[in-house]
Amino acid sequence: MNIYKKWFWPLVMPSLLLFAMVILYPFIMGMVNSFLAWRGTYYFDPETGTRATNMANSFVGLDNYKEAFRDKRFVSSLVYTVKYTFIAVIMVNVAALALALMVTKITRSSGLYRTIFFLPNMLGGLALGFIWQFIFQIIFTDMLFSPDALHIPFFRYMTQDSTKALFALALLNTWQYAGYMMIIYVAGLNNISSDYYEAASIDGSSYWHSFFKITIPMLMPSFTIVFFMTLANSFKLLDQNVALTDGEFGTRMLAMQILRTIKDTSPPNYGKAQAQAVIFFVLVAVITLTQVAITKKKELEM
Amino acid sequence: MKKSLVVLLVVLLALSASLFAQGTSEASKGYDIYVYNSKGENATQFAAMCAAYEAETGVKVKNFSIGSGQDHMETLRSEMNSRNKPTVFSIQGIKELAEWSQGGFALDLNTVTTGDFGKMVSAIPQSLRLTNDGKTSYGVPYNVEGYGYIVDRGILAELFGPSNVDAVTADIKSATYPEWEALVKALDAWITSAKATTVTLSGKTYTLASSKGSLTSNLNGVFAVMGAEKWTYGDHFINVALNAVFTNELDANKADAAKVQSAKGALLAYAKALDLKTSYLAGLKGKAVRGQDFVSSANFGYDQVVQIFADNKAIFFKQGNWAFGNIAGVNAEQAQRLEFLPVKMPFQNQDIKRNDGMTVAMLNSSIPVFVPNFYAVNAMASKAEQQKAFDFLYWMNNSKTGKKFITEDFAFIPYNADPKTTTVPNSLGNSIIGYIASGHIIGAPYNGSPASWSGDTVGLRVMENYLTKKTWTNDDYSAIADYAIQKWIEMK
Amino acid sequence: MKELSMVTSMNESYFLKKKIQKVVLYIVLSLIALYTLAPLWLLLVNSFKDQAQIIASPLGLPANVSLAYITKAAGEIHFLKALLTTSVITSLSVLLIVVVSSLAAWMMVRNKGRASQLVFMLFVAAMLIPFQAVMYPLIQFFDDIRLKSAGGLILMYGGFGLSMSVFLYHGFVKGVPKGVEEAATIDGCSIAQMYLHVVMPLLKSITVTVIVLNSMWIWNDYLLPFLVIGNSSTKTLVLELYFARITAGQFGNPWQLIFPAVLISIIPIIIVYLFLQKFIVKGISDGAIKS
Repeated sequence: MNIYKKWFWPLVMPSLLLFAMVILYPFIMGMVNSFLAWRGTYYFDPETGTRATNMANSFVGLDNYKEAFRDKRFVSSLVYTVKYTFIAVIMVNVAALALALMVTKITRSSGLYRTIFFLPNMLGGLALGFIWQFIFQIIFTDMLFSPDALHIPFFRYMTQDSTKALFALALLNTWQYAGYMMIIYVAGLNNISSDYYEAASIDGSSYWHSFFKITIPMLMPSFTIVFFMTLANSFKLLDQNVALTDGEFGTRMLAMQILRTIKDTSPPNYGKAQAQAVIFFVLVAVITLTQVAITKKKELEM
Repeated sequence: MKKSLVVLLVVLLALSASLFAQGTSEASKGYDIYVYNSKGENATQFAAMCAAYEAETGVKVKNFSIGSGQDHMETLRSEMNSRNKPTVFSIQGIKELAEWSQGGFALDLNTVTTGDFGKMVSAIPQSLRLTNDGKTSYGVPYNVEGYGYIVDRGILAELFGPSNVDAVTADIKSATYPEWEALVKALDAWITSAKATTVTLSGKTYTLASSKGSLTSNLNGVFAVMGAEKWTYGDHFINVALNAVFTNELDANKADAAKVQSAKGALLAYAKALDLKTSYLAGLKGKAVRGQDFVSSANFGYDQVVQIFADNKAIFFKQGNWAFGNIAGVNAEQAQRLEFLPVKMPFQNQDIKRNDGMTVAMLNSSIPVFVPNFYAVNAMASKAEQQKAFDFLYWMNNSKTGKKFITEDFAFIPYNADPKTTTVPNSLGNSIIGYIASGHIIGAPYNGSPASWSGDTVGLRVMENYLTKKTWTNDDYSAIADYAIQKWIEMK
Repeated sequence: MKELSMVTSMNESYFLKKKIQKVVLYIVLSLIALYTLAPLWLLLVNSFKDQAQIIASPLGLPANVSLAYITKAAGEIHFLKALLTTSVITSLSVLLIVVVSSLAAWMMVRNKGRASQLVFMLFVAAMLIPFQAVMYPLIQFFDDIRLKSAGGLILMYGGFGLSMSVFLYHGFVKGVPKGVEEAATIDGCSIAQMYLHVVMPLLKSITVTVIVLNSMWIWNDYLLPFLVIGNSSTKTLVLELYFARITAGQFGNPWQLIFPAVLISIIPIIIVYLFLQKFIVKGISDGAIKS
């Protein structure tokens, strides 16, 4: 239709303009800076040892990237982020799917439960970290899982151990996002025609059998989107990391590492931080695109 | 329906127009000088001072206050990147200076030789100057701050008798480390069961009370320690030991590997003193021990430990005069009775590597007093604007109104204060002035250590590996000292 | 599932089993609901306590219920003014996002060309850019073009909210049949009329989602307003909260101020959520299904 073709650029233009101003241009500038001895407020000239008179004098090639990979903290935060993402994606998805299956099973006050489960999405900021610190450090450690109560040592002092903190962070994240992802799964579940289940039950198929043979395959589109969102969220996790452990006990993740790189040296090495951000972006892009490609392929196979 | 939608849109457009307008009006400078202050706690009072300056001189001062900590540098950098850069900005010590001097933002004030401001700058004592080579001077000090073991004189009165408080305080100040160690152990035993035992301080014998009083009955440990705050033992506690080796920040900043290695003895003393301190801990609910609870911020974070001390559950609390407001917030009565005692460490004579006459006795009877923050003048500003900045800084530190704001409203100890005549409305501030008057002060060489070496590296190591450990051995002391030295050399 | 039970054998033990299952299900759900609400409960009870009480018994009920701390916090963060500022910034940003991204997504779906696909991929890829990667150049650029102001902040939110919103609209528009629009053009509808009277009404539910999701993060955002408007006289709620906290002291947290302040600053958004939650849920599910 001609009208759409005619109006395509005029109507898409505002969004492109905004996009170019806020994201594209700054992002390209950031890329450029990753090849320079950028110090945040000025460019450093490695030859003269002073402020560079123009940007070209500040060019350091791949030095920032090399330095990033030589930095033990960067490498360990990379590994930690990957581990965390693996755990968090599984936990959020299992929790969200379980919630979705349960709330679609009940009829009365199903809406109320959904409302409650979604509520943590509304919160952000200052108090969250403090509240969860209290939960892990006092409620879990001294009350619920103390030797006098359930006595599960794993759940005590969760924020003071690199491995346990992975789960602590994942628990917090599950609390925050499971409700949101649940809604997507509920939509997916409602979209599955009941004919399939009827046919299956006539064949004498058990609940779990139909769960794996009907529900899971039919939910593939939902998996694609939920995986995409949780993967990106987990990889970019920052606030919760800072609030809960502040990177102590070997729990520093990538986003935080980038932020803290500039504090590691004086004058601050913004060029290196930017190089890490670029590596970070490439990683996130590769991982999420691969994931989308795989799940999309699965969807088509169905 | 349509009409109301149109009305709504018009209103929104008008509002957005006003929001954008705000931005453009800022662009056409509505001020003569722009002062960036990174002591967010006095934001209101600072703005009032700027208003007073405008009323007196007609010079319009734009001021911006922000809290210290993680975000202050980010914001300052963002301001430095903008078209309207601050005329006067803040630099927190030699570490932050590196960037502003290299970037050409900080003006060397020693180049100003004329006028009142020139005189004021040349009169700043060498030890209080912000310099990266001993010759330059990049800032006017905000104030001086200090820290040590905070003690409640009310507790001392109950322990040693009301008439002995002054004498006992003086004798603890000059006591040796072995005497201090014995005192700590005696006090710990006394807290468990009060008995009239004797302790020796500076050679004099004192007898502890035979029973507990109204304040001392709350005690459950000797020290209140922030196990979860790594800067308290990573920055400030370790700084006392660094004073045995380095004369000042610059000395530490320029130190070569051999000099850093020579700090081994002092750092061993640090580890031993930290062991003693964290072996007699007070907690929120009874006596505490090192372990996982001790590094948890829900039990031994800043607020919790202030609470422990303000509830009279501990006798000694290593903190600075900045904690006055926090303590007063919990126990206003106690806040009036506070005093500093020196942090003591088991130094040997050979641990002292300075050649300016520093002694073990002097180190153990002094408290660190240092300048936390400096006002710098922007070298990128026009000459006329710089001159206005000089006038402002001179007025602030020398006029009657300016000085009143500094001592009364900011509750600062002025860097140029005469210790004999200055008092501040704050018991801890006055205690520092007392130390300045008697000359028992040491510096802050930890500021000259490599970026993020102290709290974020050594402090973190101590927290993760040692504060969670019940007993420390000689090997542990050694490991802590070696790690600190190794990291310093690595990070430089 | 209901139909499922109809067709299966209807004996009593079957119903009993179903009933027990239901009860168990409700118990499990209620426990999870409690777990979900517990942190909010902490926020609520601690908004009525003084500092000492919060530290000593963070879980306990307040000794006596007084609104003193809430009133004090409201005064300290200039609640009404900040609420108005935050509302204006949030609503203008969201309005911008809705208009710009719905137009773009609509056009992208209706034009199946290479350009359209490329633009869409660009937006989706941008969802992966970490904020830190653009932060400094962004602020500097906006300052250069004289937009380091509340107005510029709105444009920045517009840009940051774009990707996800285009993504959501794109998925939704795909499911809207072209037929109605075609009929409208035949009737001589202009593109503006078509957008306002035909397309937007069909996109109502996803629009609510876009509004809610964007409002949520813009309302709670801290870093961007901090870097852009900082400590000026017009501050958002979160900024007010931040500055109230730092004026209270260099170290430590004035919890007796923070808790009530956080509580009152999230109440407006929770109220909005409770009123709109049906649309939100519908919007998110529709967005997910159709993308």
